[in-house]
Amino acid sequence: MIGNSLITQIVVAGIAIAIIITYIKPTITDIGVLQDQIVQTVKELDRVNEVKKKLEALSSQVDAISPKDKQSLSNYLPEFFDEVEVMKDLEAITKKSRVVVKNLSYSGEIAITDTEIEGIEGVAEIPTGHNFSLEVSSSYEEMKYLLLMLERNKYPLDIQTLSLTPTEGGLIDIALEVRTYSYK
Amino acid sequence: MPGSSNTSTSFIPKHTQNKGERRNSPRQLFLGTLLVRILFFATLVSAIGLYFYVNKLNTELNEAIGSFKSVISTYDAEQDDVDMVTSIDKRLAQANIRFRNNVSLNALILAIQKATLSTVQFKNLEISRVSDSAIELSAGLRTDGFDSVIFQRELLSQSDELKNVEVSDVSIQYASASEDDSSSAEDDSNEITFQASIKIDPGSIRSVLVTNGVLPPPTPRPASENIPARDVGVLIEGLTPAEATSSNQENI
Repeated sequence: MIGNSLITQIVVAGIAIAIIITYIKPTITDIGVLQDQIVQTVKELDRVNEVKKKLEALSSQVDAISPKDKQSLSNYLPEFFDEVEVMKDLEAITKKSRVVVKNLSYSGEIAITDTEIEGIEGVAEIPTGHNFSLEVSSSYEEMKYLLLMLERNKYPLDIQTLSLTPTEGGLIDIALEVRTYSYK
Repeated sequence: MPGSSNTSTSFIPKHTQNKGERRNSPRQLFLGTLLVRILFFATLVSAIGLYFYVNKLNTELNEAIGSFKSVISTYDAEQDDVDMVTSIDKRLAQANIRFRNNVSLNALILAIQKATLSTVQFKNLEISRVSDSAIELSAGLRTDGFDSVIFQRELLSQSDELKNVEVSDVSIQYASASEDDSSSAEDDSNEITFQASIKIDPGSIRSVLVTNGVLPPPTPRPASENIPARDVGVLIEGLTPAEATSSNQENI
């Protein structure tokens, strides 16, 4: 099949070496790259599938939340803030508390810094604060009731500052800075 | 046996002496030739094997990429789900922070009330929430004797909520000598004023005071200012149930 002459041997060896250099060696390199690509793709595919499973689990969890609870969460931290609605609620609370309102105004949006908030680890964004200024005159019992009503709201009405000054006739002048929040 | 020839009956083949010895010359195979052949055939086999293996790997890669693309395309379809879950998660996290850092200022007022002597009066009171972890309280107080100041300071210090008390600006205003006899006769009419500054840890007053029940509205003042009582469904310590109505608080 293959001759025994020296030249034939040299030619055969040369062909073999040429095949190794021109095909086998680059192909082995390509195989390494392909194998890496396959491993990487399969790994990413696994990750994507894992995330997809997690998403499905989370979606079913979200679906399991009752509409009432979703509404409560939306009320607690609304996406679209309406200061008029809040002022209306504040007025209703003051009426219920039987305090005499001297002033009620929206002080504006407050940029809350990280240092003001405790426990923000893992939370990408901080809710936006909205301050309201409220000045009333009331008795001591009415003031306590007013504070309770502010606490017992469907969304937070955090009192940032409270200033009490007794006046003649046993009444108290109260100046409040109330803060509520919206989802950011 | 006599007279018989051994050569004709012997089982040993006879050797013809005239027949020349035939020599089979073996085909020569050198080591180098053998190695070259092995190298050549091994190269061929490897090349063929690699060709098929590369094809197999390419097919595997294409399948993996195809699966990846199909999963990614389903993600695009589920983008609404992703947005909804992310939004709810973030909103819950933010609401949780606000909820955990909720402080009952009414509970603080009641703690102050509990820790205030009957002989001490408030001239003013300022409560400021510096941050979620700090509340500062500053009060101008007046009383009639130094004993009351000392006792008041101790009482505030003993309170769980109002521990870090600092009393400052103590001053005494003696009763004027020009006052009429009835008032100047009393030695206790001197007025001592002082300032109390308290740094409060919100953690100590975070407990929610309101529980299920009925909270009565405050006692009405002038009859003309009366507002119809409404049911709000809460109970505060020390108060008896009564009826009241609420505007936006029924869903809590």
